[in-house]
Amino acid sequence: MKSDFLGVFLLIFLIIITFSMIRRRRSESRHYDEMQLKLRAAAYQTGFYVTALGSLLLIFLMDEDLVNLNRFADPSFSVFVVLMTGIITFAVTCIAKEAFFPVGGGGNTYLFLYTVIVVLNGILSIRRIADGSIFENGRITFRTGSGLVCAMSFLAVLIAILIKKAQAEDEVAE
Amino acid sequence: MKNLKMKSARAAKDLSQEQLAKLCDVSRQTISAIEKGDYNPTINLCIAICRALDKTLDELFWDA
Repeated sequence: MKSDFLGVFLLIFLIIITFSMIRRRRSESRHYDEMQLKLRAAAYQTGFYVTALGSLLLIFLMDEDLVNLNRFADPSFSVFVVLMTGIITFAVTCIAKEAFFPVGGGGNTYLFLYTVIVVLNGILSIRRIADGSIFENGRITFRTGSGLVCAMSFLAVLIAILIKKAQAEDEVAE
Repeated sequence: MKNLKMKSARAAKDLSQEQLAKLCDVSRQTISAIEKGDYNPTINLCIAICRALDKTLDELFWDA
């Protein structure tokens, strides 16, 4: 019941944030400069290769004669993990190369949004792990495990942003 | 190769990287990368930087 409440809360929260971001984006001329566009293109490429490589690896891992990953995880969950890995690779690469936020974009709204996503998904996942409901018939499924993947992925993004912000502050101070 | 000419021209105008970035409509990191020599700007950005610093392309970007 509490999980359902948190889920609904997260959905409403995401809708509000999305609308406020769209409204703000329309009112400001937010853009990426030439160096950022170049770096983002390279990051897209890295993300694509990671996803392609992950998909290839997944084929072998799901093979019944080899590892048979399906015993431990639902195929849709496995595919979701691969896709999220590609997306997060893109995001973290962009953050590391200072091309994640557009020109003049401080990123505080994103920081807040990602923190909420990590906290809410983290709470749900810890609860699921604690009461064992993360496994359905002995396997992690998309329904039970996607929250954990989201929490871990956005945590990686959050940490990357915070490290980069600290580095940028040091650079400005120099 | 570091672009010390651009860095000194910016310092002479008493501008921070952030301020110059705003004048050129790019990110601070891009200005920093150009000064460090990590990024070769396009001619359009070079012109924008020259205008912001009241310098010519030769003065900032030509290595004789």
